Order: sequence, then structure tokens, then C-alpha cells
Amino acid sequence: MKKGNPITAFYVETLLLILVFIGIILALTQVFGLSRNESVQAKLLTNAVTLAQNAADEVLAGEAVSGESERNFYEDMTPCEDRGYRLTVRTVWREEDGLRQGTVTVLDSHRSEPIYTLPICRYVGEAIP
Amino acid sequence: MNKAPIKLGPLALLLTVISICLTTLAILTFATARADRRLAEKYAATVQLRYELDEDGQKWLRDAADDDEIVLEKDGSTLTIRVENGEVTAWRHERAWEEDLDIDVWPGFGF
Repeated sequence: MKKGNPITAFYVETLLLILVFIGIILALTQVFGLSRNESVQAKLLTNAVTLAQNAADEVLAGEAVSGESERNFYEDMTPCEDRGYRLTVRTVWREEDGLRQGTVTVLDSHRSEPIYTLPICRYVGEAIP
Repeated sequence: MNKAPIKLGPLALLLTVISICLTTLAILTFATARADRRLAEKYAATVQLRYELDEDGQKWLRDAADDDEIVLEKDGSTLTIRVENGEVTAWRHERAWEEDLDIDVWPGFGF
């Protein structure tokens, strides 16, 4: 009567456990990656809204009747003069029929579609404060 | 011929506990990140709505009389504009809000 080798059973058990554990870790790594992606998108969108508001207020309070401007920013909203930027704020405005109107568009360098747009409008006709 | 049974020992128990903890952490992390994104989208929508209302208000202002008033409404938010003697005396953004009375919140001392 032969008995099974207990050391072999231990090795098999340990190997199975480690394989299952590795599988769980791999699945959880995907979940953590998704979480990070969601968090980055939330941060980018919030920054885009702030940058759009800043650009809108700058145009509405400025003296230029019409124009276009484009500025680049890093992820943390620091202005970028060279490469490596993440967000681009594009502003287009003109005056017509007593209204200064335009659009602020924020683009993400990693995506083709704009991530945020903001309409701007201000009555500049007569002297109503 | 007998085979040694494969039993789950302390190692399995340890790895199971670790797996449960890591899974809980991953779920909570994802839920928090998702909530952050939803909040950011809500904030973006609110700001956009506010600027759209401002746009409508400015267009109305162009054609308004020296004494006039209007309440613009869009998606639950309102903008009240009042012009008196050619001056804008009110430019107020409001949004309907209902107090949630389900939770018994402590009102503070003296109440």
C-alpha cells in the first residue's frame, strides 16, 4: 500500500494558491488602473472648467473687439510655452449688434474632441453698467 | 493505493484574507474615483448652464427698456435681471433646492 507523498501535495497546494492569488492581483490591478483613469479625467475636466472661465472673463473684460487666442497649459494649469502641454484653451470672439460674443473651447492633447466649451456674451452697446 | 489529500492550510487562509482586503480596497478606490468624475461633470454642466443663462440675459439686456425686469429659466436654474433708470440693479442666479429632511441633523446649541 503506497501512501501519497505529502510534500508533493504541499507543493501542488502552494502552487495552486499562488496561481489563484496572481490571477486576483492581475484583476485588481486593472481595477486600480481604471480608478486612476477616472480620477485623471475628473481632474482634467475641473481644470478645463476653471481655465475656460478665466479665458471667458479675460475676453469679456478686455478691450479687444474681436480676435482669436490659443494658450497651452500643463495638467496642473501652469502655462506652457513649449511642448509637453496637456490642455489647450482656444478663444474666439467678435462684436456684432452691440454684443461681444464668442466661444471658449478647451482641448485635451490626448483626445481629438474638445473636453469643454463655454459660450461667452456681453452687451457692449450702450452705457448700461 | 492512497493519495495524500490536498488540504487548505494557513497559507490559503492568509492569501484569502489578503485577497479580500485588496478587493475591498480596489472597489472603494474605483467608487471614489467614479464619484469624483461625476462631481466634476456636474460642476462643468452647472457652469455651462450659468454662462448660457448669462448669454440669454445679455441679449435681453440689449433690447431692454430703461425700466424692465425678466426672469430667464433653463434646466431648473433661473436668472433674474432688473433694470431701473437705465442701470442694472439685479443680476441674480438661482436654482431650486429642496431641503432633505430624511436625516435628523443636529441644529446646534440654543435650538
